[in-house]
Amino acid sequence: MRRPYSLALLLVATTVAPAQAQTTYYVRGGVTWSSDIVRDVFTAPVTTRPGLAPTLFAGVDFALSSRYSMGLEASASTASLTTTTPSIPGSDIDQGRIWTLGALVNMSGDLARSLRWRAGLGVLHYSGPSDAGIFAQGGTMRALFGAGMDYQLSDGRAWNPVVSLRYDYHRFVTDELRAQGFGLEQGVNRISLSIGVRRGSR
Amino acid sequence: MNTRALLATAGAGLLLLAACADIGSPTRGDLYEFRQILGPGDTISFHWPEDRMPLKFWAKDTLNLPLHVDSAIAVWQRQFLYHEFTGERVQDSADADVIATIGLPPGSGGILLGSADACQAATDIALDPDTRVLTPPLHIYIAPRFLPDLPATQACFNVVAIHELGHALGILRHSSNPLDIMFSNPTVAQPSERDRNTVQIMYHWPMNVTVEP
Repeated sequence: MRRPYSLALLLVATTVAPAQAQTTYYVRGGVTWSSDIVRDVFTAPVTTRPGLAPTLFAGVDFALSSRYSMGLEASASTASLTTTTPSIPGSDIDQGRIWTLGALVNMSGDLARSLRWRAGLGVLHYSGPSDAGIFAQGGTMRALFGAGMDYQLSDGRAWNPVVSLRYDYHRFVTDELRAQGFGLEQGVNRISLSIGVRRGSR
Repeated sequence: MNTRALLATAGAGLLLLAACADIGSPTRGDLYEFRQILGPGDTISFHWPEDRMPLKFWAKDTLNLPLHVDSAIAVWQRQFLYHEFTGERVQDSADADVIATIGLPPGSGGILLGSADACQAATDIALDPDTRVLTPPLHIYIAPRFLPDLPATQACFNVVAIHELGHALGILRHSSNPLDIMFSNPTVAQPSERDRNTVQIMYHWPMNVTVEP
């Protein structure tokens, strides 16, 4: 009776061991800058933009070859949201706090010994104050394109420090904006800088 | 596919996205006059400044007036896209920017009257047209025409509370369209798109009134 179990154990061990060696996990924390998410015009242009957002990233990469990996990166951030009439000093209106949750399926590869590029597609969900304002009819889920670079500061330890720079792009609109007559969507650029640790090395 | 090809593909995709046109704001062209017109080329424009938000309302605790004021605050808040107006009800009238009571106004100067089938109302805006200084608190008066507990009277209170709060927010005139809540004899239960356009433009219009602290 022990022989089948031993065989199964051996099979699992031989299958999982190389996969584990080629799988890396990471967590990072940083900040994200965003461009305007809404541009409007009353008697003068009015812009709405998130403030610098503390952001958490977590992800996993699976090696496809010696140079390329495929992975999934999740992110969560929160920021204040402010509406401003740039032509009127001190016209800031606090819109409350917004939250974003993102998921990005990405490809990555080596650029240099400790430097890797990354690019992918995913989704980004916004939520915000629903009593009134642009989120009055709820949050919104947007398609996301992202790219970036990771620089691993050291190698060979269980957890290795890494610095990451990310850029992503999406087009923003909410049901409330559509209901109030807005057409098209606002292109939004975001840049984040983060630092964290990566388990596993390449 | 090598690294260069991957990066080139990603870059091309990004350029395609960036080439898309950005959001287009609504025209908001369908609105009515909200300014007080003193003469040709002589107008008064008023809205509460951002540093007064949330605007403080006090309602006399009778005939469900606090409920109607709460409802009217919520209705007007929803008309704004960027939280230009937020309001809250306070417990002490001494703290209020706007006071709502049951009854008829004691005078007639600076008063905007409104009436519906089952009730009538007025807003007394203490605004000096010469100095262009507004002295809070503003006063809203709501009075029943019939028994105050009748459902028709309570429904009327709800409508005129929204109407009078519209004046208190800065709409210094009446709409000429009976489908607007700011029509002098309001019959609709909610602000129209024209009401919404009007308050949204009004809160971004340069004002020439000073609000006393």
